[in-house]
Amino acid sequence: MTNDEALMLEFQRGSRAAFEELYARYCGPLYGFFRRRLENPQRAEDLAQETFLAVIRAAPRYEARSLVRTYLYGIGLKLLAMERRRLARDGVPGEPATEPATGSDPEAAMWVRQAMARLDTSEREILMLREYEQLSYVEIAELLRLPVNTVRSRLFRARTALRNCLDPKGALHNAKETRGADSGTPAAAAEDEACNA
Amino acid sequence: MARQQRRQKMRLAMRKDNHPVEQEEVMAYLDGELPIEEAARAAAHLEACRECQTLAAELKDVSQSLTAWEIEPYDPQVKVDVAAALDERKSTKAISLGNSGNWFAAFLERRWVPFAAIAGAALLVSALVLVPYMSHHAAPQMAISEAQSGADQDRFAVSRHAITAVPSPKGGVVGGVVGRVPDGVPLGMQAQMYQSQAAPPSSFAGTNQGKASAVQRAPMIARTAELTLTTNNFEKARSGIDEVLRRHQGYVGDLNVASPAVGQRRLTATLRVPADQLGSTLAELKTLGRVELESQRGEEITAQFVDLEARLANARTTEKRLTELERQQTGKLSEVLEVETEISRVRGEIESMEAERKLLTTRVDFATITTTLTEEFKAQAQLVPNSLGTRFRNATIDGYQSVVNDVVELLLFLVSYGPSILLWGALIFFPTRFFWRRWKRKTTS
Repeated sequence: MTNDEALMLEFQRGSRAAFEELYARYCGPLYGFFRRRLENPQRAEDLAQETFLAVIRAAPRYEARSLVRTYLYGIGLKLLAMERRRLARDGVPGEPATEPATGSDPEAAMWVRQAMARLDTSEREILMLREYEQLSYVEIAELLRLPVNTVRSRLFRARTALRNCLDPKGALHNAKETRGADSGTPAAAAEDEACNA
Repeated sequence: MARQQRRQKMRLAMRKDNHPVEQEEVMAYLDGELPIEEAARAAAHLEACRECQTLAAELKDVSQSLTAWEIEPYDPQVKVDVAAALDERKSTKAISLGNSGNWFAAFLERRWVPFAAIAGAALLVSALVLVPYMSHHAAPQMAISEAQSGADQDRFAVSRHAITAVPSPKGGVVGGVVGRVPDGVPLGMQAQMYQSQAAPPSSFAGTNQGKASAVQRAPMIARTAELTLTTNNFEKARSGIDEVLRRHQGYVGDLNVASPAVGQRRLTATLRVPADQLGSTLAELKTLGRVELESQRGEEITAQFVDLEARLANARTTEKRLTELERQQTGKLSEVLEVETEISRVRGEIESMEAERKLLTTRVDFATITTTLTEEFKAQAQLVPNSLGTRFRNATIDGYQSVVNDVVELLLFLVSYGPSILLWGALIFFPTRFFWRRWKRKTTS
C-alpha cells in the first residue's frame, strides 16, 4: 500500500489516480472533522470538498515536509476558522449543541457532545484532534503551533474535565437508563451545574 | 458532587505522594506517546500502583465514551466540482507545457498576485513617505548633538569624567569623580557591580535554581520604575543613592554624570535592587530631592518562562535520545558524525535557552530603577563683561555659523523631500491640468 506522501508526489506529477486514492482515504475523515465542529451537515460537506480543492490548487507548491494527514487537517483548520468567522459575522450560532445526534446510540452521542461543548475551546480542539482524527501529540502541536508538552497538559486537562462531566451520570454505558429517568429533574440540573463548575 | 470531591482529594494525594510517573505520563503511555524507556518505566509502575491503575482505567473509559459520537457515512466518490478542478488542472498543465508563451496569463491567474501587488504598492508608498520623515526627524537630533559637542568643546569646555564605584577599605563604596577622561572616550559607564555590601548576596545566585520552580507557579513579574529628581545639593544626593543601594543590597547597572563648567550637573543611573525591596528603595530615593516624575511598570513573563521551560525539557529529551542513539550506533561513520553534529546543535540550543532562563529569573529577582538626578540651576553673575571687540567677534562668528547652518538645512530638506515632492507633484499635476483644461473649455463654450 502506497503511503500518502508518495501518493501526493505522484499527484503533483499529474497522476489523477493518486489523487482519487487520497480522496478515498481522507474524504470520510475530513467530513467527520468538519461535521463534528459545525452544525450544518451541508457546510461540512462543502468544506471537505473545499479542502480537496485547496489541495488541487496548491499541489504544484507541495513539499513533503510533513505528513499529508497533517497537511490536510491544517487546511481544514484554516477553512474552519474562516467559516466560524463568517458565522460570527452573520450572527449564526456555530456550536452543534442542539442538533439530534446520529449513530447506534444517539442519546449517548448527544450526551458526549454536550459534555464536549462545556470544555475550554483549545482543550476541546486538542481532545477532538486526538480522539477523532487520531493525530499524535507531535502532529497536534505542529498543527496548532504549540509546544508538545502544552498539548499533553491540555489533553490531560480535557480528559479529566470530560471524565468529571460524563461520570456523574453513571458513565455512558448506562446513559440511557439514567438520562431517561433523570432528565429535567432538579437533581439532574444540579449535577449539570457541578459539571459546569 | 461528593464523588468529584473524593476524586479531587485523590488527585491531590497522588501529587503529594512521590509517584515516579506523573499522571500525564500515564496518559501518554496509554496513547503510545512515550519513548521506549519511559514507557517501560510507566508500565512497571502501573503494574504496582493501584491509583495509577484507576486513573488509567478512567482515561480509557473516557476514550471509550467518546466513540459514541458517530458521524453518518460519507460517499467516497469524487464530487463534481473536485473532478472539474482536476480536469481544469490537467488542461492548464497541458497548456502551460504546450504553450510556454502564455506564462504571463498563467502568472496573472494566480491568486496571490493581486495581494502581492497591493502589498508592494503599500510598501512603496510607505517607503516614500516614511523614509524622508524619519530621516528628517533623525537629522535634527544628530545636528543638535553635533552642535552641542562642538559648543561644549568651544564655549563651555565641559569636563567629562568617568565615574566609578570603588570599594573602600571599610567595606563601603566610594563613588565619584576619579579623573578626566581623554576626548573620544564615551561617558557611558559599564555596569559595575558593587563588590562589597552593595553586591547581591550570594544566596541569590545560589537559590535561583530552587526559586525557579517556585516562581513557575506564582506569576513572574519583571518590575521597572522610573524616577526623575531635582536637588539643590547634588553631591549629597549622589552619595545618598550609594547609601540607599548599600542598604537594600542593590547595585548600579549603569551610571553617567555630566558636569558642564556652566550649567546644571546631571546624573543618569540604572539601579538594580531586589524586587521585594523596590517600594522601600523608591521611597528612600524620593527623599533625595524633589520628585519631577515617577512611574512604575510590571511586565508578566510567566508565559514566556513556562514556554521556555517546556522547550528546554524537550531539547533535553532530544539530547538524551541522541546520546542513546550515538551509544548504540553501529552504522556508517557518516551516520555517527551526523548524530554527533545533531547532538552538538541541540546542546548549543540548550545552553542558549538556559542563559535565557537565567536572564528571565534575574529580571524577576531584581527590579530596575532608572533614575535621573538634576541639579537645580543657579545662574552665576559675570562681574566683568566681555570687551566690545570680543563681543563683535563672537557675534560675527555666530552670524556666520547661522548662515552656514541655514544653507545646510535647506540642502538637507531638498535632498530629503525633493524626490517625494517631485513624485507627488507629477502625480497631482497631470490630473489637475486635465480637469483645469476641461473646466476652462466648458466655461469658454
